[in-house]
Amino acid sequence: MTQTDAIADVTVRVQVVRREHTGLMLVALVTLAALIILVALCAPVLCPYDPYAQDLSSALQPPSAQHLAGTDRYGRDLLSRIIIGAQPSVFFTLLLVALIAITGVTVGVLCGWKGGRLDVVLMRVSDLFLAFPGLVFALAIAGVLGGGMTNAVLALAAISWPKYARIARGLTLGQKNEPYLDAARLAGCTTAQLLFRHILPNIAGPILVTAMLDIGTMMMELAGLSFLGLGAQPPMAEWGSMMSDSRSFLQTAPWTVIAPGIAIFVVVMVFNLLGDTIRDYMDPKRRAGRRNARSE
Amino acid sequence: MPENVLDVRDVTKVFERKGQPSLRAVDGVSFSVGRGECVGLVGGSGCGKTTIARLVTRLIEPTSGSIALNGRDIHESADGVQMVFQNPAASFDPRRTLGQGAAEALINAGMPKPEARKQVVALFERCGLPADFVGRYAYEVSGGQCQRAAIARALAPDPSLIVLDEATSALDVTVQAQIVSLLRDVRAQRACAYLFICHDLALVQGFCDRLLVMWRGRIVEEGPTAEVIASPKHPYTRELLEAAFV
Repeated sequence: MTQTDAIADVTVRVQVVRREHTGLMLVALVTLAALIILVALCAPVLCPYDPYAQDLSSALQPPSAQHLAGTDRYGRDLLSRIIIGAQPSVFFTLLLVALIAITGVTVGVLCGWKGGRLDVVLMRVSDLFLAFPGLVFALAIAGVLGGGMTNAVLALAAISWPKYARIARGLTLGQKNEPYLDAARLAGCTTAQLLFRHILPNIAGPILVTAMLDIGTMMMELAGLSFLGLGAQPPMAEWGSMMSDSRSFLQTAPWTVIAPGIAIFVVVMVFNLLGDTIRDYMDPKRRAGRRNARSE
Repeated sequence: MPENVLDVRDVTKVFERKGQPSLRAVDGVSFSVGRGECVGLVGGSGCGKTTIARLVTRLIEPTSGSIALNGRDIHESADGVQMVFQNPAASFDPRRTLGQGAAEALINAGMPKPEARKQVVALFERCGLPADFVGRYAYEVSGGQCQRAAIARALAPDPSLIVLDEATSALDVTVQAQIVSLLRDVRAQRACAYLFICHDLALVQGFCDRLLVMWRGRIVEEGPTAEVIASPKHPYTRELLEAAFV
């Protein structure tokens, strides 16, 4: 074996290892994400205590066998509150990401497909939203709308859709002049059929990856708004607002802040890693590799 | 039944371009294609051949002039013109199978799915592809196989005219010969007319009944293939011939 052969062999092996690694990671992370969603779905059953029951005699107790994560200043069991708090965090985040992805893709595909004045106007509007510092703008909107998770979702949606519009517009422009669309036209497809049957499936990949990556970010931003009092309202258990409620006890009863903090950290990390792994998995280079392997 | 499948009368297409003078891609072109006839359209790059293909298939509208199919204006004509594209793989949706692509016209016309699928399988076999190719994707098959599928797709709605826009240019020589012989067979069987757009005169010579030579958006010479090649009248035709048969 010559030296170049040896190098090539090592390269191939590294690629194979990385590919298997990505596959395993994907399975592991999908399982974890599914577990988180399952916990959120079954939260009321899983809570060891009533997350809203106050017991002032056992307030601010450190973690013990009885209260695994300790209690907060009203004596509510923190573990139960974290489990029930998974519901707003997970479901409102998924709602938010779905909302911005659908809005953004609709605007983007419309702009890319129609072009002309509509494109110019809508893209300048999206520039306008992009020009503001995101969270500050969301704060302003949430402030005007008032507190509550729905309003926090609306505020974050208002600042986050332009990213999707830009991606979808670019991808649509790339597909628009492909000969297969001409062939579909000759087959008698209407514009709606062209868009839904041909364009959307062909641009869905990168959008899906962006959406997956956004789940973690959006979860953080929702928790951030809640921390600032613009999201979840008391007594609703939500990780961001739980941290905010307890922040004055950071020195005397640190577990009241650390417990929801860890929950945010873990869940955001799982979804971020999942997004990353899906992106790696759908890498165009890898797809090209699969294609070549098939055609030979 | 009118004598001609296609009548193009005085068609002009002008493309308006931003910041540049407008482009007269096709300039007062008239020609016709008879029933079951194979007409070759040759010319250099950018002379307007593809614009003609797109006009005839109604992918774009002419600036002026009229196009008639089977004696009726193309806008009122029920049956369309089908087309086979230069790059076979790109002419199929990468996310859909070859069979789905070929059946699309039938399904859009209201044929039930199982029946459309059956017809597509028959057409694939007619075009020399095994039945299981209906389940494959364009990137899984070779260029020649993909072009066969594209021909099957073009035949599906039973058109009276198929435009072949450089349909063999992207294929290597042996595959090219196979595709041309398939086209010949199909024509003998179905009395389907071809508008064969090409820049390879040698290929046109053996395949087309009649030849149109295009130069800068106009048709400069027209006649039976053998005649045009034997005694070219326009200087551009002579130039083309010299380049082809050195």
